[in-house]
Amino acid sequence: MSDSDSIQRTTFIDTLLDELILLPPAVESLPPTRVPSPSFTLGSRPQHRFTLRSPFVSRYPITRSAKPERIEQVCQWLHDVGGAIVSPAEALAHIPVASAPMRIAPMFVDHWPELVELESADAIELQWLASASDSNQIDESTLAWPLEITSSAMLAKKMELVRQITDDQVPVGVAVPIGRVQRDIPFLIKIGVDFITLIMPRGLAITSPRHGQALAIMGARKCATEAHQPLKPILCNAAFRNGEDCAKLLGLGASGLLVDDWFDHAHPERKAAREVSNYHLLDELSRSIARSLDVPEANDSRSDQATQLKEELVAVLKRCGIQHMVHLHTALAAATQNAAVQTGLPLIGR
Amino acid sequence: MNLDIRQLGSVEFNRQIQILTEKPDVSAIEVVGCDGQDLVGLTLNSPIPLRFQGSLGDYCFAASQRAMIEVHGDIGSAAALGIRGGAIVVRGNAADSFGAFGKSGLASVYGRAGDRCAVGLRGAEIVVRGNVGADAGFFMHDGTLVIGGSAGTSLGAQMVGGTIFLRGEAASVAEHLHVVRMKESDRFQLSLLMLKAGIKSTGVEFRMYRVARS
Repeated sequence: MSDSDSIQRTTFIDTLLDELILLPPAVESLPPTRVPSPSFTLGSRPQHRFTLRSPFVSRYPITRSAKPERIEQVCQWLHDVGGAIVSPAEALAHIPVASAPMRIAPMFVDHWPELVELESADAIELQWLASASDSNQIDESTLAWPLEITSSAMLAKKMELVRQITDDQVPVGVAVPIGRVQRDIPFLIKIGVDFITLIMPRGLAITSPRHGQALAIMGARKCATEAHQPLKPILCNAAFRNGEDCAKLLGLGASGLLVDDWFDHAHPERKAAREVSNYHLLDELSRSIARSLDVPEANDSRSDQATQLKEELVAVLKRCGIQHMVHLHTALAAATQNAAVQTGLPLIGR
Repeated sequence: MNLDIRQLGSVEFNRQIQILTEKPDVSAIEVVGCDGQDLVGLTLNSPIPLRFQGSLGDYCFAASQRAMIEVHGDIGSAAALGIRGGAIVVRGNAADSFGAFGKSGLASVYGRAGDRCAVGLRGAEIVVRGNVGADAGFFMHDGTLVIGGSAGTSLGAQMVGGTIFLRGEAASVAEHLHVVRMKESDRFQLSLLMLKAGIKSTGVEFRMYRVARS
């Protein structure tokens, strides 16, 4: 690809991101019924009962400075809004059962946790951060941990091991870095993962990776569609700035969003100054969406705000003409063409 | 009692083993047709002796609890991963990650073991009669690793607890490990462990490594 092509592609994606929610809202055509539930299930087998009522997922420890009471509040929020937390069981031991969200147990593929950790999980995420679909590219001498999983075949066996240990009752997903989705996603779908998490490398600024993560999500969804699994849940550990970005990432093909990176990337200077706590950041996210949609802001109740956040996101999706999250991909195709026509930019590949 | 593994997938084999070991009239099971099958004998929780004739593949006997297992052949990667009790004896060689993250029980190899032997050990006892590869005892927390031959590079790297007995030489040893003078009780413990693994030794030629306490 030449430089001019690359610039044009980048410009187009940027335009798409900006234009996606500016499409003419089909408000008049919406029936006056209750807001559709943006739920999706992480499991792919009948015995898997893991349905999220919200695309929001957080990863423990949320931020490095998170205090137990803050974690409790975020858990309550996730529970109320119908999200999930990626966390070891031990870290949530103090959370009351009534306010505990669904738990995705994280497990480094080169590690082996306590058995109870796997047995008590609602879902399991194998973190394959040194994704070795091409093991020749890994220089083990530079890694801090000697790899057990040095090939994709070993990953498939490890996943099968986890499935058998848990009697195949728990959805098992794999987290991979966003860098090589074209190679990783088809392989992961082939070995039968229940869900995929795309990990955004930490430490990157929020500005430049937007294009990277957008392309990665689109690429991952395209790979899933080509593998005849267009609805494969894809969680995205991406950097986003506000609620509009959330809607765009969902529109581009993400099924769920890990909001913890939002804490890390969106307000690093405030975090450094310790001016705001986690739930304040969540409140800001909620208000940001509300402002962009002229939706009245929620009152001071945190649970009300959490519910409001979810409804605001649904409102964004409805303004894009999207009735249900499972329809996002189809709707995106139409939205992309509309955006291209409106902006006068050629579609990629045409 | 004999069981032929060739006709069964690992899931069905593991299911049948669970059923057979619960039968009161079964005192021992001999498994034939072993030819590198993966994921065999997961979460076994019966003290009935199991003897496998032939070699097995990767991730065998993971998270087994009370099993008494003997393998007359080689075994693949990550065998005895996270064991929680019982005894596993491999008469041949073991590939990488043998006995990793074991919490309790004994895993023994009569031949050599590959890289990452006893990684992240949490209290189990691992005995290797021959040589081990690189990164043996990496991130070990507790338990005992006995190496009857030589060790590769980075022996005991990131180790925070437990004991390594080494008879031969190591290509390199983590800086924070110290050779500790063996007392009579240590030698007795080593001999007893070797005996449990089916190996006769007085423990005289071994050196004992532990994490240096500041």
